[in-house]
Amino acid sequence: MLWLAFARTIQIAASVLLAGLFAFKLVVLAPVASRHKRVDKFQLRLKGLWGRLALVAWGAVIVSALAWFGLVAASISGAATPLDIDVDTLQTVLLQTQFGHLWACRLGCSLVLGILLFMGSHEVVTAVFAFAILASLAAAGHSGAIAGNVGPLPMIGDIGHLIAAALWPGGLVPLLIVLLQQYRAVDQSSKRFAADVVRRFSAVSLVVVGLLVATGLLNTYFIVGSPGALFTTDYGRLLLLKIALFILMLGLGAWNLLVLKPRLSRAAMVESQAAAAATMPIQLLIRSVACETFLAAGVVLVVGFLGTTPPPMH
Amino acid sequence: MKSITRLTMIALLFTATSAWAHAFLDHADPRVGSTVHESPSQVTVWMTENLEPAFSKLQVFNANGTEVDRKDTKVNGNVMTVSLPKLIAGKYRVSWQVVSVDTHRTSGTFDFSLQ
Repeated sequence: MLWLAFARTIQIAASVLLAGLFAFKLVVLAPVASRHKRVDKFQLRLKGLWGRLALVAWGAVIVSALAWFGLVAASISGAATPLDIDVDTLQTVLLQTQFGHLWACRLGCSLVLGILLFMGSHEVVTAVFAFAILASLAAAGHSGAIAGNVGPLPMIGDIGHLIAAALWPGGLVPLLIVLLQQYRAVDQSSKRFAADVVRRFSAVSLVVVGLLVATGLLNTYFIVGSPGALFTTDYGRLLLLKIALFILMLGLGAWNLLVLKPRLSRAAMVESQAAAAATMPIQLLIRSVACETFLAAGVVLVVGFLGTTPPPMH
Repeated sequence: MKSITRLTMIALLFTATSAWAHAFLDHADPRVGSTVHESPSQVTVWMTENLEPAFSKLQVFNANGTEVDRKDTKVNGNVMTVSLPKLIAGKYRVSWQVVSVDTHRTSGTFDFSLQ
């Protein structure tokens, strides 16, 4: 069960990151780049980092998918480890279960995505595949299993939630890369470019929040049940841990917004004589976003374990 | 603006969880713990999640522990049925072992009596 939770955690994290990279690039980075109207070394460095990170995330998706399938097959069949499963059971899981069908489709999409990543072209098509892989996680979750006459609402809610999560917290890693590059950059145009990226990321986050709130409430309605269950069930206590992590993230986010981001924007506007002083808010913002990313990883880990714990509604 | 974003995110993520659930017994026919006066032709259970037919099974045992059902479990969504021959009066135990479509194994038993 422990390894299954870890495999799910990596699968979710890698899928969110992969889609997050493209979401950040298309929704945040590309509009800012078009305003700056030039492809400088800063943007080329970003492109190279993007490509490598996407390949790492893709590799994590593939490896964790293989582990996930083996562990699920072991769990279903009652085998002690994936190595104890016979071929017939593997075949049955693959061909006769919803999870098997979904897993095969996701693996197929992942392989196509890998080819597209290696080709390095057809960016929009690549992004569509990355989002399809992320959104399809909903079918492997609660919404894919829920019984009764509730219609497609749970599935729609889960898909919307996953897609929104690609921008936040999925967008934190690309944001961190931009900030790191900004810190290393010496010219003011690169600093202004990065400051604009940070500004747009904040703006886009507001739109994402609306979607996350709506889908989150929907998920809550179908899964969580009463507030009292937070304290009386394992699932509830895990959820409280998740809440604690997000309270920490809130503190960092507020500090970023109210203290660091205004200083960063001012620093991007001043000329070289103030460059030394201007590095200070960037350093602090990098540390803050890194901490946010770390906490977000903790949240995904908790989600991985929530997946193996019965929700209060059941 | 970003702090508002974070606050709202917290409100959302406190409640939103992409969870994988488990199938448990919702209700059954004959009802759990009930006494029936005619031999039922089948036992039907309604689970809280949709099931995987290949890995889900419903069995009925008599008081001696002998399986008395026709071993023809059928699954349709979250409903699982097994047919029965004509039963004699006595206490029977229904055992269900299921895998929900989100791949979780659960099992349980309940009794009913035939008078």
